[in-house]
Amino acid sequence: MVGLSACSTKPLDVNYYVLSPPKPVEHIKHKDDVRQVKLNKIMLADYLRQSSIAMQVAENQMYFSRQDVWAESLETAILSALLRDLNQNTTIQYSSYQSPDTHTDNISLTIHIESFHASDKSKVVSSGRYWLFDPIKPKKLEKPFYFSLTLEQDGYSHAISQQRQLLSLLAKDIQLELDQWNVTTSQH
Amino acid sequence: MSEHNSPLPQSTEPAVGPSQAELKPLRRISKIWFIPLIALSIAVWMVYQQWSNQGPLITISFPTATGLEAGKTKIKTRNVDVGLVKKIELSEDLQGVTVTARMNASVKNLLHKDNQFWIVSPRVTLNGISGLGTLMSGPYINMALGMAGDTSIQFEALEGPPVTPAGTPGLHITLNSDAEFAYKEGDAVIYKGLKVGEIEDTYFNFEERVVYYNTFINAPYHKLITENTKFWDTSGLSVELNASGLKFDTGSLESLITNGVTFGLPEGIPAGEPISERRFFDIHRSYEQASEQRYKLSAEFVILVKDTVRGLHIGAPVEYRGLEVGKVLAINPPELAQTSLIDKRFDIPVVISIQPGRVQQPDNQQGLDYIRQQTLNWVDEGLRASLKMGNLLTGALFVDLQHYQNTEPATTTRLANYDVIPTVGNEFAQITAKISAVLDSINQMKLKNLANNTNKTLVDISQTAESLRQTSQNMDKLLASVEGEKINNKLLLAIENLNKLTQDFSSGSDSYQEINQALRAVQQTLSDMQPLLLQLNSSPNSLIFTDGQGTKLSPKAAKQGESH
Repeated sequence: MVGLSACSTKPLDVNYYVLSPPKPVEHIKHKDDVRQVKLNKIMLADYLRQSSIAMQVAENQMYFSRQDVWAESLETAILSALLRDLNQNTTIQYSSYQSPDTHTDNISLTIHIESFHASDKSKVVSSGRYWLFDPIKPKKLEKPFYFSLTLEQDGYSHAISQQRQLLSLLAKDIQLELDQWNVTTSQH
Repeated sequence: MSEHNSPLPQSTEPAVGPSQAELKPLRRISKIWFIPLIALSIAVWMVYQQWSNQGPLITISFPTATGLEAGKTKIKTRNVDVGLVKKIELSEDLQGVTVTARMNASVKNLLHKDNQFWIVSPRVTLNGISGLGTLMSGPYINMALGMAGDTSIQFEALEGPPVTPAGTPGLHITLNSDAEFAYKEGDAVIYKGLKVGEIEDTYFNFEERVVYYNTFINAPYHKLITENTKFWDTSGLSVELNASGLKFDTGSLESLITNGVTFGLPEGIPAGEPISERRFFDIHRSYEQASEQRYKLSAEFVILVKDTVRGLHIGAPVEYRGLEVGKVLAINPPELAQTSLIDKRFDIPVVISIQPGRVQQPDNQQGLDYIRQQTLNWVDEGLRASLKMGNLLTGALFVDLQHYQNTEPATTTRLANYDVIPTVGNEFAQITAKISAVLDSINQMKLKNLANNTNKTLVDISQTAESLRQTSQNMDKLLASVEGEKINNKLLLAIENLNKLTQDFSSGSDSYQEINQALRAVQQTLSDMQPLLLQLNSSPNSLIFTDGQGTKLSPKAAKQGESH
């Protein structure tokens, strides 16, 4: 009995994380003639397409935690978080590519995320590139982005909170860019 | 000494002194002489014995002496030596050989006048091979005993072995034939496939120009020969083509390569009395011809043919409504010629016979008279003769007797003691007349109008055909269009279905998303398993003997002063 118990394996302690903690839903009412933007499927770097949470431990070395994993698909989580942040602005309505409201003449927003992780340098980074395409004009905008935040606490939970903030920064950047782009196109 | 040696004293005085020899007279014949006498007697006796035991000396005349040798060739009867050839010499007329032979005394009384002699040597004939035994022993003369009461010492030899040895039980008959077929010695007489006799020899009668065949029928088949027996030829293969088809007939296998005669009783004829002594029989060409001979009497008539008689032969049947009642006896006999053949209106006389026996009348004079009279009565009532085609292949004709309606009345005439039966044109002439009549009718038709009408009808038919062709083409087009529309509808339906299917699986569709999601989950799971697999690969026992935690890294908070 003692031998058996000595040979037995201790169950792995796994922690699951969500990017956006649940919050009360704020119903945002858009105007009827508001411009609509369709957010296409988020394109992730291949190493981010896994449940293990990644961490950069050296310049070219990544670490994937076995005990700390995403509770959902990262691209779905990023899409949801961005939609929530982007739709804070009532002048433009953002919708998912899966939404029944999308139309083919909507401005489409395509985001490619190349990095979205914490590092052993006590930072979280997010980088990538996004495209705006107006099929009516037609007109296209491509812009790279890079955001980083410093970790103030240890642990994955805080790091994920900071990563969520990085998405808010990205959303603001997109909104700002789209507003300028809209103005430009309107003037044009 | 001289005294003793002196001759005896001549005196006759009695001798004085010792006893004197008594002189006795000498015997005239010594006993020793009996020995030669006895020997002579024995020799004489032996000569007498030899002379008295030897048979008669006979002479046999042969055409040739092939294989015979004086002093060696024997004469045999039933393979028993009965004589020896003593001398062979040419006959006086040099036409043959005279063989002198000494016969045994025991056969002295067997030298019948009709004994047969022939040389036995190897012989190959159609009837078989004989005399092979003489290949080693050499030829000999065989003697067949005859039946005659008289004896003889001079004989004529046969050229070969007799077909029928003398004394064989059976019956001798003579067949005769004036036909072209000929028989030779040894040819078979066949009865129902069995060889029952042979032709022994042939004789040609120059006066009658008939060949006679002496024939022997073996016992017990000779009992089959009766006074009504008919003989007919069965040589080789008989091929007969008639309405029933092709018929082959042959006798025995032997008769297939040689000649043969068969006999029998034609149907409906009584057998009659059996034959006990030599009789004469005719050899007919066939059974049918032999059968015709069963009727003895026949009423003879003449028909005068105006058309050709080509195809009509002697022996051709005379039919009354399809039944054979007689036959043609003669065609254009010289005694019936009325005018010259080169005369334009020469009618060819043909003698025909009607046999009472064939029309259910008695085969006697009474029946003959009845038939003759009845025929003449029928002539008055319209009976006419005509030549008709009996065989389309050979063109053979026969005489047909028919009652004709509406015939011109004919008077009974006679021609050279024959009653004449009037004739009508032959079949060909009748057909010709009918065809002429038909052609005349055709000529009388208004063929020009008919041709015009026919032309017009043909034009109409042509136009109808053209319109029918156009209709058919239109129908083809219609069918093609209907078929095309149908195919188009089907294609459209299929494309729609295909569209629906592709929409179901197109990018953004539910199915597409589900499939994509499932694939992504699979991919993610595989990625998650990669570290585990790597760990198991490096240390397989790590799954059991480690706590699975390993080295754990986690993000660290920045130290004071590092935050931006």
